[in-house]
Amino acid sequence: MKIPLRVTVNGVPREDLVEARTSLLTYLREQCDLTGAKRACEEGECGCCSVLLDGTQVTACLVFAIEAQGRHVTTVEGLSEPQLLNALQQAFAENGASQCGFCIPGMLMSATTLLERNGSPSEAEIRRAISGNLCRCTGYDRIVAAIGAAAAQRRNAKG
Amino acid sequence: MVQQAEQQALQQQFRYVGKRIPRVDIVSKLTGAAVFAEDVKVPGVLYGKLLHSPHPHARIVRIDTSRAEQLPGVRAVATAADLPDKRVGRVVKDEHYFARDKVRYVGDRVAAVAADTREIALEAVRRIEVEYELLPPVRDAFEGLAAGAPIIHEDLLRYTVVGPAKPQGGNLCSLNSLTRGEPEAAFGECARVFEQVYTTQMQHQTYLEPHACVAVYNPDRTYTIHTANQGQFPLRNAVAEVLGVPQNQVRVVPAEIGGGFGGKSIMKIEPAAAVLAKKAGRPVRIVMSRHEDFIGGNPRAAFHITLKTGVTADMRMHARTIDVVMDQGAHAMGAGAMAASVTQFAEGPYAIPNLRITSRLVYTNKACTSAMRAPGGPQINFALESETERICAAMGWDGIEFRRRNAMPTDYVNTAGGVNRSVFTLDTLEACLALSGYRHDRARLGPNRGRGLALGNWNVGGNASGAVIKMNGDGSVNVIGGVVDLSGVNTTMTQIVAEALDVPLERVTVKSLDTDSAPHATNSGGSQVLKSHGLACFKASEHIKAQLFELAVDELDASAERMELKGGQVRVQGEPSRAVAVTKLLSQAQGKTGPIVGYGATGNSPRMPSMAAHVADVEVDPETGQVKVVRYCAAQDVGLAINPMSVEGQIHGGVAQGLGQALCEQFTYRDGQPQNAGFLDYKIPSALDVPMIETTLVEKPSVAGPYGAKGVGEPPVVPVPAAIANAIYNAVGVRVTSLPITPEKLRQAIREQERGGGA
Repeated sequence: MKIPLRVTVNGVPREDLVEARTSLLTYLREQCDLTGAKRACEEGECGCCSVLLDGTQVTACLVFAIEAQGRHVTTVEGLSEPQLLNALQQAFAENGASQCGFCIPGMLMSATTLLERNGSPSEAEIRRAISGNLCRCTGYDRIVAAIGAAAAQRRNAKG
Repeated sequence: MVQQAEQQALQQQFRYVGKRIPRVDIVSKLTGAAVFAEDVKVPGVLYGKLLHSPHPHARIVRIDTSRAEQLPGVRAVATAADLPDKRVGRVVKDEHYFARDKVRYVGDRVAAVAADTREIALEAVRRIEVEYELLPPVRDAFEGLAAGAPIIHEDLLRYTVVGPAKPQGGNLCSLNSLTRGEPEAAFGECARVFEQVYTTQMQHQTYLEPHACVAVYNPDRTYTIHTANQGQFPLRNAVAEVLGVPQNQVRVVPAEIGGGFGGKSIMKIEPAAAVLAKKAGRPVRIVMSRHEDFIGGNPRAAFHITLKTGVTADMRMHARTIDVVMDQGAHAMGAGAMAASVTQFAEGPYAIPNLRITSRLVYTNKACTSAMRAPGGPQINFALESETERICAAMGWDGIEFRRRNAMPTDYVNTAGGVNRSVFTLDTLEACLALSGYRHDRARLGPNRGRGLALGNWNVGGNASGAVIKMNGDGSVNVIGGVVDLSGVNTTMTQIVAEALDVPLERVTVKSLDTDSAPHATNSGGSQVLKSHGLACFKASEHIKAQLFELAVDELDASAERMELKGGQVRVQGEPSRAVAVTKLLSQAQGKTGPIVGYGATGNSPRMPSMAAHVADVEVDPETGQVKVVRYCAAQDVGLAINPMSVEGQIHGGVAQGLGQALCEQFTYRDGQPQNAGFLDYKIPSALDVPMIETTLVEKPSVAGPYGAKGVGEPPVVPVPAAIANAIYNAVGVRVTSLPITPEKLRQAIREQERGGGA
């Protein structure tokens, strides 16, 4: 049986029919055509499927699509205008924070959530914030540096 | 300081090479636009699913797929009956793609289905009935070698061997040996002889993207396969072999790849998707679950290493024997080649006059091990560099001085008889000492805190590769390659071609194209792409230049040898006023020679060592055995860094994987059954487990690579486990000789030492 779902995805209101068992990840990838969130373990261990639900990072593989009823979902595709980078993404680019790039959409979601809550995160706080996002390419070094740089830049812009 | 000045002079020669530029694909990687294999959209695609063996070793009595075929929504079911009855394999042809007579590991492929939905595919797989006659499993390499062991491949000695493996019968897939001098006799000339056994574990590559592909069977009876694999050409050839069709009928399109580390250098799901697509008459997508990816992967092999080392009173290693027993798993895959390559690089970063290396590769009923980043490298190095410090501790020697005296020099004739060119062992060691401040007499940093040093090498070869460059009418260029962009390949190639043709970066586009479109190229592995494909791109640029110079002969009234290409002009060297615009020559070419297309190629090239020296600082909690890595320094001999940012990224990632191997990762089996096939139980380092990593690039141009560049991806994983083991020793005085050094293992060793055992 399919259930009606009203949800705002990357600022666009949608109405869809979804199976009760459909995960938010499958809904985004297969019904919204948004493949930025990645399917990698489907048990909430790797963080590659991270998206924002009402502004907070969740692993979309462990959330049912219907749990997003009436809420706002942001995926990596919604972080910036097409072909452009926001300040955080720009910091990732300049610091060489992405290698294969598979974990990066999830990393950006966790980093976005962190920077919303903490404008001056320490290295330890950055590491804790992304500790649920596994990366096998970068050793996290440049990702940590990029998030720190983005925070500093944001402070300077405000200051 | 001299070295710094040399490096600066080196960098100043170039405009595009040696610069820290962001990856050319960075925007797509940061916006979700990058199309990975599971993201490839194909209309009407079906869901494919494999049925894997639940048993480590069993005879297949009967397979009945009728109940699966009857399920509504099932479009095709495939088994061994749908493929030619022949064994395939890259080294030893020891495998039917779908199991035919026997299954040999948990995860062996038995059948596959394609259905309208994922759920129907899963249900269909459950409905396939397979009757097995269970056989006793071979659980590890020594069990496999024992008299009376169950035999995994009864026909081993009748198999076709296409690689360097030397099958011996029984479960011994390969026995390889290399000798220099007379080690046995030389032990008698030594002041002291040390013997020690080291063991390492099975480690999974744990790329974040699981194996995924989409296969299409086209109306012209060809196959198109979009996949996440490290080499479109080796994969195409493997798939064509399984399907029994000529290579031109399989077109492999490389998708963006979400990490490989060797784990995606082997065909996995692609032939199943192809045969299902043909049977169903519709495209088929297969994505492995994380569980399937563990049980059906090709992890790093567990090694058992017996070292015997004779030293003279003047701190020299005079004789050494290295006996390696490798737990290969059920099929030879890439591990067969590893048995041979291990014997070549096991001499390590040292020059030892009397040396014998013997490796035995043993079939077991486990996942088929194969390449993982520097295959065999960190296993052997863990033994070699742990032993270096053990010997020095026993003899009261300074480990730095010991390494200096035994270091491999350049132009060294290796055990296999080849010459190791451009070897910079001491430069790399000294760079690491300067970076880290390591001193032998100050390696104990305080209570339970220690600093460890290890020196390692990875020998980078190169396989045949071609590249094409098309020069457009406005002087911009398109570079066509058949190499997967695994670690910034396209960015590096962009820099090489921009430098060679003196064209701005934004006027160079590099693409990794499908097997119908690109010239044949090697796989992205073995750190070889820069040396092989990079050189091909450089040569293709030279080919372009030669054509332009020929066109300019009349205009400039000079011979081609006197010309240079600078800033969009062909000029007479030393006379900048005698110049003609490239665009003018390109326009003239239309009426004369036709389009300007450059082709460059390289053949196979010998392996050359790249050195890495690492220092780790650790803190041990003696109560729990927990090790915290608090600082990490890595120096690496990179020839010339085409893109230093990219090279440093490779070092950071290599170190993190090495820390996993050193401290926490272990894929385990009990009686042939995998015990931790998922991220919940198989732990890789998180951001909390890896410190910031300090790096120094040692830039002394290599004789082999473009602009003196060397392969850089694998050396940084090699010394990590030994550096950690040595740091732990210096922290708590305990030497752990088996990987991973888990808290349980270390705590136990500390307890034993307290009870009076000790190191």
